[in-house]
Amino acid sequence: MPKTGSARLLMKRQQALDVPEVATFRLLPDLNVIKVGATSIIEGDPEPLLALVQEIAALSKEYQLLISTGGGERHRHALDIGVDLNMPIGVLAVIGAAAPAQNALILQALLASEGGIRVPPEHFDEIPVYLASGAIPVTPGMPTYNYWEHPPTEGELPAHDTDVGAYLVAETFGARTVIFAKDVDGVYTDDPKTNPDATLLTSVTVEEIRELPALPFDRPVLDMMERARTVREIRVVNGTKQGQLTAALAGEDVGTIVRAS
Amino acid sequence: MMANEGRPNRDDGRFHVSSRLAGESLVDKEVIAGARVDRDVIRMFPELNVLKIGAQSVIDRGRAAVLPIVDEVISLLDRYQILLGAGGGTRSRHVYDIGLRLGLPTGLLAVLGSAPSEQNATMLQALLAQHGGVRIPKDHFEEIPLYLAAGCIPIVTGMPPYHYWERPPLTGHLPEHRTDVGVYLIAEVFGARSMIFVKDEDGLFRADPKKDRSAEFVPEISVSELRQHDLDDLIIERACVDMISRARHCRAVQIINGLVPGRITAALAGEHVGTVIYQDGVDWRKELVKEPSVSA
Repeated sequence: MPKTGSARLLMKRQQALDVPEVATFRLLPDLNVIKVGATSIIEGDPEPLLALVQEIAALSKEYQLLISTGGGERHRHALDIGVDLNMPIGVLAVIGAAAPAQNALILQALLASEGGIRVPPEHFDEIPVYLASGAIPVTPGMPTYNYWEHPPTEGELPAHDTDVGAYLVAETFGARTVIFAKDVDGVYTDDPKTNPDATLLTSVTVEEIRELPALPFDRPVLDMMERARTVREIRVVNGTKQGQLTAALAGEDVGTIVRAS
Repeated sequence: MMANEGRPNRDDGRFHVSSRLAGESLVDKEVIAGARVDRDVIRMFPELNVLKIGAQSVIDRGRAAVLPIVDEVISLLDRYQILLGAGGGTRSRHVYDIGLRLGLPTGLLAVLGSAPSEQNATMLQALLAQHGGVRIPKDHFEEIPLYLAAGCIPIVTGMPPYHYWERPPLTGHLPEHRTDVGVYLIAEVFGARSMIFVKDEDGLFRADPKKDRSAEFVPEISVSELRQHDLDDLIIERACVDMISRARHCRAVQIINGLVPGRITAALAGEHVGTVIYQDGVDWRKELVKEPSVSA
């Protein structure tokens, strides 16, 4: 049998290999990941979208930003037809990548004059160059699970969708913040669009909101947060209201902050 | 109910694409309920047999282990469609070890962990080239039908492409989804005929047979039994056991000793020659190799 310098590792399995006492290294500790919702913002009226784009452009002079996009109605439509055609979950994940990529191209176009640049997953290691040059990386939110999407435990849809994708990018990069820009002010006790009695929750833990009937982001984000090493909280703000993103980046109390524990 | 029931409407001056999956989030509780339809997921490759060639167990042993297995695979090509997936092995563990000591995040370890299984896939492809071995990168999976129709052997990297999106594990930092999961999920998503893990042990033992020669062999075990025993060394990745519990198609896998000549041949013939791990409640004897009944 060939011997290598790492022969000592040959029979060590997962537990033996782990070195849990080492603090997780933060690749990009100044980075702020902004998830821009598709149904909520990109597909909405142009005025709030363009205002948000201007706000992002202005903030990029002061902060390192990475924009991550959702899929929206076309995303749901494709998944809906895919489910109806009995597509395997991995095929649903593959077709689910298209709409978020389109939306990333749209946002990149709107931000082009301010340095917006679309970064597909296979070019993620170039992100430091873009940040150093003051550019604004715009990435499709869909993670690259593709044919390898997990068989779901609930329902028939890929668990690893664009909100999870944006969150995990922030977690892996060890980002400063991850902010979900949606068209509601944050997490409510119920869906504020259908229940006028729903009240805004400003500061919550994952456990406290797990059973809420409606969340403004995909539920598996909560499962991911419980595993987090670097990004232990997320913030949800209303991206259609000018100034909320700016306030969130300044660390002000706006929208809803969700903590892992 | 038709998926695209209803017409796009322009009531608010915007063009809407109606679907059952309404709302901002795909996983609102009501949406989950709405999408939970009783559906019969298609099998894309019902005649395909997926073989994972272990790296630490087989490929890292060099020619003495690899060449007889390659010969056995070649001898089976006139009867079976075969796809090979390669593990990562010793070099994966080495790079994980370096990354762990530096505190690199799990997502980066997942990127680093891909290279050794890519190298191993390249070597398997070279050995099988004159018999139709063809490397299939992830973004060319749609070409697999062409290669199978031509009698080729698609060879893939075992590591799943989660990359930066590999989630942190509940304990420790190592990627939970490595090459066992990656190859298994190919069998599952393709609705393959069989999923066979080719290793250097007869299957699962209640203790490490390399350390304890009297370790008891486990011929078959359900996912929940396996979890209860919480064996230190599961022989396949824990996350792979979790995936088997969720599977729609690939509800039983067999782990065999590829170093024993004839075992792969027997396993493809549907014989029980190793350890079977099966989803709770299924008749695993019917799941070892699945009839190619195409439903859609």
